[in-house]
Amino acid sequence: MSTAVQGRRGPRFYLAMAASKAAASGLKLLHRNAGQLPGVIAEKLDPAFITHIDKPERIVFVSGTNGKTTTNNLLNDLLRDNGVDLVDNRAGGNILTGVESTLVKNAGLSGRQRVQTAVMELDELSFRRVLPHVTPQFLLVTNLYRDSFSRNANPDFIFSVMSEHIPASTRLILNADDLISCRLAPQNRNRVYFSMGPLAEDTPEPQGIACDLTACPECGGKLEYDYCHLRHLGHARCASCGFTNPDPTYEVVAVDRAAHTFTVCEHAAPGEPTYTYRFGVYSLTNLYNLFAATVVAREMGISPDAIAASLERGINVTAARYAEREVGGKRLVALASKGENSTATSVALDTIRREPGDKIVVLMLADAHKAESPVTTEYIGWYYQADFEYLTDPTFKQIVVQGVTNEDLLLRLRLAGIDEERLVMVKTPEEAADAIDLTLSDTVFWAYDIFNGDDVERSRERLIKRIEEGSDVR
Amino acid sequence: MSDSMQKNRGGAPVIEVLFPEYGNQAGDNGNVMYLRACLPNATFIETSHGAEPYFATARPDLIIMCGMTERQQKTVIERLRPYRDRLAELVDDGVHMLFTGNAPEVLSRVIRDVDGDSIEGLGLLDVEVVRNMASRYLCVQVGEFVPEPGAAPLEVVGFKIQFTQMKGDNSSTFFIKDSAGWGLDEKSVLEGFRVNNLIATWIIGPLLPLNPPFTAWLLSQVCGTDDVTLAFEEEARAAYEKRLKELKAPGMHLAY
Repeated sequence: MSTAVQGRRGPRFYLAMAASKAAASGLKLLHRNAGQLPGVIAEKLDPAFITHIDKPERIVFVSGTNGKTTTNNLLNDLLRDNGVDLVDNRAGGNILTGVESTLVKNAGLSGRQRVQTAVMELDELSFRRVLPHVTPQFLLVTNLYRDSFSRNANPDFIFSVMSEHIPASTRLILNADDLISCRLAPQNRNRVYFSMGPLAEDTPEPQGIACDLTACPECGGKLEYDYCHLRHLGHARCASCGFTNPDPTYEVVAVDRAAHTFTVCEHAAPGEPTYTYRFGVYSLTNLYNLFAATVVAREMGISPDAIAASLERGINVTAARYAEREVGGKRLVALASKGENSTATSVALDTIRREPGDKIVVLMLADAHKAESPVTTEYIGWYYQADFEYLTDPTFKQIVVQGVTNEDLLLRLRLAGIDEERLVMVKTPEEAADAIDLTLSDTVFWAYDIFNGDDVERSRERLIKRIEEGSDVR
Repeated sequence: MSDSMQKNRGGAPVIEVLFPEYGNQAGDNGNVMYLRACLPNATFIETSHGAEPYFATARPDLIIMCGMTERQQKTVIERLRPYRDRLAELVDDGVHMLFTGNAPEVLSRVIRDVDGDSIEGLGLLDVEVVRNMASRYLCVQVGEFVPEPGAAPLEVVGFKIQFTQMKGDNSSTFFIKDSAGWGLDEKSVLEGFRVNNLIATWIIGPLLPLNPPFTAWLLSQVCGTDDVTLAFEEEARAAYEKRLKELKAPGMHLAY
């Protein structure tokens, strides 16, 4: 299957290709990640570069508000472990110039693609710039929630942008539990759904103080939920028009947290067989991401046995979003979520809340990079959509808050009902480490904006030093 | 005056929240969250999709509606259209109203998309909305609000992030005069509308918790007493003072 939509090439294209490849090579020599730079250079020299460059025969895009990076990375690992020679955009970025950088990386000077499979993450808003020129064979959409308001506005808007640009020939792999994204691109009949059946931790209604699905998306009628797994993801029916979740082809029918396994029934296959796969660290988001990656792999023809074997070999959620260490009997866990994304932050806080035992949490939610500029300010309105109320759980013994938006967070945390006595406000990552009172709990979580990873490591390393020096009492 | 037309004063006002299930974009729900914290004795009436508004037959002390998606905006206009004249009557009668985010657009004459579509608004504000879903307009806001003629102005801070620009004249009916950011459109420094006690502003998010001076004034008006207590006032004022200083820095803009 050809996935190329290629325009007529001219001197600008060849100049753009040469310059972007030179930039990529130069950065490689400097041991630096090329990032989006090759794509930026290519766009500058040939604004229609994306139409001109060859595309691999098979392209898979992974998109959706939450989980796309993790799922894409998992899928890359899973496919590579099964001998699929592929190119990815882990280093290139998930917008147009990131996709272009990836294609440049995979191209010779003539523009011909070396590897014929590309598995890439694609930002939802970038559908309008990428999909007119690139036709993926498969498109996975993990879910749609509210995201950064300043950039993505609201789920209705993103839904419209995505729906408008999804090609009719692309095989859509959609989350049947999400009554928003499962309706994407109704013009496309080539679609398959995945779903998780009822789970032990389900709630009867959507979770959180700001719900993205408050009424039937078809008629505006009242939705009656059977259960919710995660926020509005679950099973519901409209009392007015009968709209409900589509039937899944792939369904998780059992989760054994003790054995670290989940079982998938493939309803479209003869005899509706079931297959059991292993997961690593349990969280519902991890499970959704892993499950979605396995579904794409199955659609790409990887056998259940091969997938199961890869997962047994340790293919799992990458450390970029979840990193746990144990030092001196203390459990130190860093859990990232996207900044200005209230859903991801709420899910992270809820995940921490559900962890057994008492805990201390360090909030590092203010974007440290944005704070570096003296003439920019971060939009903090999203704090009022995020469920800081989860932190009122009595297992949170101490809440340390670090960042330039501390004053805003303090007010929001107080409005959430958090006692002043449990709150510590600090300015730097090091002060956050010093403020942690290890007499209160042996478990410390850092809940942080994904771009604050370096600050989190500085904070955690300082705490580790404290522990190793034996000064673990304030 | 019937019972339902009595004003509900003395710290126990009746506050109608229109479409709370929609009005939570960008953190606009923070406004009602803060009102609830400040006014524990108030009665909050949430009017959701499909319900008859409380104001249709009664006189709330405050009507509040916050930002929503464009799709929901269209639904809300149609739901409120049968009550358009009643809403106008309450504006004339001096009922306090606060519309934030893109909620003021519901009250406009028309919302015109640059691609040619248009939606007729309720026509309570003499303004035309021009919407371009391919453009995102952002700014920070610092503006002076004059509670009453001759009174010392209060400074209001906030953010605006929207797909729209407005065509209209608010020179005698503006909410605040900006010293940072823009008003009805990028060429204007007059933000929002104030018609009797209706305040309509495109400032998004938690306007009330971010602006304790303005909120204290609003609550005093709604409750009919200067004896109002802001929730977590110390924390709110500390955040406000810091933001005021930050947003006054020359060239300050929203990170995007």
